[in-house]
Amino acid sequence: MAPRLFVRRRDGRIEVRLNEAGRDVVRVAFRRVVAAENDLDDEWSTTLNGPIDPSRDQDDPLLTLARQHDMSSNAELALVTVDEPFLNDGEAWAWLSTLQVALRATASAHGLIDESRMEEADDAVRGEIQVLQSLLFALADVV
Amino acid sequence: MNVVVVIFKKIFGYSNNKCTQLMLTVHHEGRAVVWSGERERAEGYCVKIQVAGLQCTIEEAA
Repeated sequence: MAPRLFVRRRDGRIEVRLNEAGRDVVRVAFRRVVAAENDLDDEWSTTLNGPIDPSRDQDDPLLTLARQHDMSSNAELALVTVDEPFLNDGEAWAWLSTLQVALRATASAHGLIDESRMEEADDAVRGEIQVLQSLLFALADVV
Repeated sequence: MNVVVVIFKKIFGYSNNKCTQLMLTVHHEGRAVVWSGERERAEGYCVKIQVAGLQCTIEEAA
């Protein structure tokens, strides 16, 4: 049985059981998201916004700004907590959100927009995506 | 922001890749067909999706 990467403790906190290599993967992903948020020319920049909701955006542009600010805060919070042995619910949520952004940006940047292209992707890219998926879904199990 | 990829996983139990593809479709096109089949089950899924904070509609297959 595979070891659990995240464990919900009785005191409510989430224990992060990633080894140094795992922490490095997460750190690189979080850094990349934060960097892209601050650089419009970054190739991940176009994939940072949340799911499209044209009606809401047109009706309330301020809501869009608030959403972008939330995302920025999420990525920054995730990055500053990357070495923490335990996460509270808010921090775990920030990790989840940022991991999803990293997963989406990685897949989009390589043009993997459908399953056939995903299967045809080279091993390194597919491996990178599988690692992000594993971390994201393992964390989702305890949040 | 909703972690849509997780919502799809928890509600439908799809594979990691399928959830990722649905997330990308939602992101790029604004919507995605997440399930098709009997109307009663579709209504159940639709409620679960809405409870999770996403918008959802049921449409008759063309």
